[in-house]
Amino acid sequence: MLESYAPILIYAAVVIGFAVANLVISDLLGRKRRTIDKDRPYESGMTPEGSARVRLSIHFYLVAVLFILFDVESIFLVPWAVSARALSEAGVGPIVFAEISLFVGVLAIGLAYVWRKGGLEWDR
Amino acid sequence: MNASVLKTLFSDAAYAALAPLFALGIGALAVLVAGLFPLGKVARAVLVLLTLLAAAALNVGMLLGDSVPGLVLDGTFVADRTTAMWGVIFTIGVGLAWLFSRHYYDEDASHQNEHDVLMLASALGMSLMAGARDLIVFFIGLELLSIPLYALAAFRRNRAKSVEAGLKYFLLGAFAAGFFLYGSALIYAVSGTLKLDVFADPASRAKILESPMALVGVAMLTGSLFFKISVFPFHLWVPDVYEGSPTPVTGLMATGTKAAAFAFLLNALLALPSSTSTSLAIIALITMALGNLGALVQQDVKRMLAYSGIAHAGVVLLGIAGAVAGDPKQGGAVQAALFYMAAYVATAGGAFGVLALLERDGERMTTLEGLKGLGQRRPYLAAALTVFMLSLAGIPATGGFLGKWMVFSVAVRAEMIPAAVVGVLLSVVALGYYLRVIIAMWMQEPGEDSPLASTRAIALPATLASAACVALVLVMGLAPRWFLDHM
Repeated sequence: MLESYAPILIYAAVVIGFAVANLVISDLLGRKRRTIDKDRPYESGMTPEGSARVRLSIHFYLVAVLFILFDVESIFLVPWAVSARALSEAGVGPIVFAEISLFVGVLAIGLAYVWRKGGLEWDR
Repeated sequence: MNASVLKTLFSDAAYAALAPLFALGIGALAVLVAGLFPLGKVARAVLVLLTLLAAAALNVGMLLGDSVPGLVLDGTFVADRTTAMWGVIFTIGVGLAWLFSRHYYDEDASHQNEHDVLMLASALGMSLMAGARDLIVFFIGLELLSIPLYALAAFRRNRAKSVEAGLKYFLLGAFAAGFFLYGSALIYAVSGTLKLDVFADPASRAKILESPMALVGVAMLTGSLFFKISVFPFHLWVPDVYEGSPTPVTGLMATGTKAAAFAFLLNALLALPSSTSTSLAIIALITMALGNLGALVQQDVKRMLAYSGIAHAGVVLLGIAGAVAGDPKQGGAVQAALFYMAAYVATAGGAFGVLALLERDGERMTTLEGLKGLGQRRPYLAAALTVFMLSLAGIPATGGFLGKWMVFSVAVRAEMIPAAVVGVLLSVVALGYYLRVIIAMWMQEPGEDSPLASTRAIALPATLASAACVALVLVMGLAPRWFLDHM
């Protein structure tokens, strides 16, 4: 039973090893020229200074919600794709396809709604 | 999952069982799409109305038909006469709230279309909750009901109170949903299934309820349901949320949400060990006491109705306690709760609707002070509100009386006579604040700062809705045969 977890262990070792190796190798081989900007903590290119309670554009929120909407779509599509063959062997292939199309269709209506209402325009 | 189970998922019975849900879902999407095109207000309203009528017709068809689909979708959803009756109640509740909301947002009607879509989606969630025989199916229904309601509670986003109501409802609702999921997980850990039918078999039921883990799980499920039906000690959010939300939405919360949660609680009755009946009865009585005492001191009628709603939830819970204790009449509690909630939907839905009308026409007309002299200014509205107050108080000849009588008889049949007596006495206390509204409307002269008589005519949708509510309340009180025969 425990052996079945071996691939996960190997995978974890590879991931951690990759990250550590990257850091070590760039430290050994890279040129070191320190500047003020380079010594700052890395914060996705934003200056990590000032209050954290700044006003953010409401657009960020909208984008996040839309992302989740279509992210969930893929969560449902992958299991269907994986089991599509088994489903058609069981004789319910077409109807499950119709159902998943319905699901994608509902999301498409959502996309059309967002588009038409101007949710995808950044500058308004 | 093997092939034969897969095939049964797509049986004709499954489609027949889900037909009312399909109608609501397709209708909600159609209204959403209609909002993208320059259609007239009337055309969109017709679309909403058609959706609700189709759902109601499919449910009535199931109610009157010879056979019902029964358990479908691998035993996770049930479509029988009880579910169909709940479905009819939900469509009536949503229909009323929708009709009363027609001219409520007149000053800022820019998102009326989204408002209607959210109301239809919440109706879909209610129907899913009532038919659920599986904890996950119920949870999907619960979220489908709750998430639109969070948005609807905050729908007047320019008013601080409305936003506050939405936020409070959302935060507490999210906690309740978390409790529900945790409880389901614990029950799953013990029983290995999320289907409620494990509790139907006495042997497996006894085995599951032996485990303390499952008991904690059941307690968590009950707690989250108590939140939705606003029962002590999970009732504290009710007055603030009801007061701050737009009044038609409050009507929907008070009637639809409560009815849907009760529908599921009755489905899940067997999960409650019979030893809990005493504590359930005590909780019911505390709820009634807190609701009634809280309502007595309110000046705002909307807040008063919120407390009265808490008390009413307590009454139905007393019936449920009776059923858990062992009501000898098969399905007696289900029938009593159905009738009680049907009457409550018409009564409270109508009362909140009339308040919505008054609020639209004047400043803060929902205080007792503002209702003074309403009988002279607007006799028809005052008469309708009088009928609703009498029904909420449980005066004979109204639906509210018969509902109370049926619920208390469940408790009496289960030999919980002291609890029933205390419950009846608490209902008498309630008479005090319902009568205050009637006295203010008919017997008191308007004060100096009372609003003047409005010259605005009542809009047609609201007139229809109030008349329908009054008719339903009186028919259920005077000629309840049809309802009783079909439950």
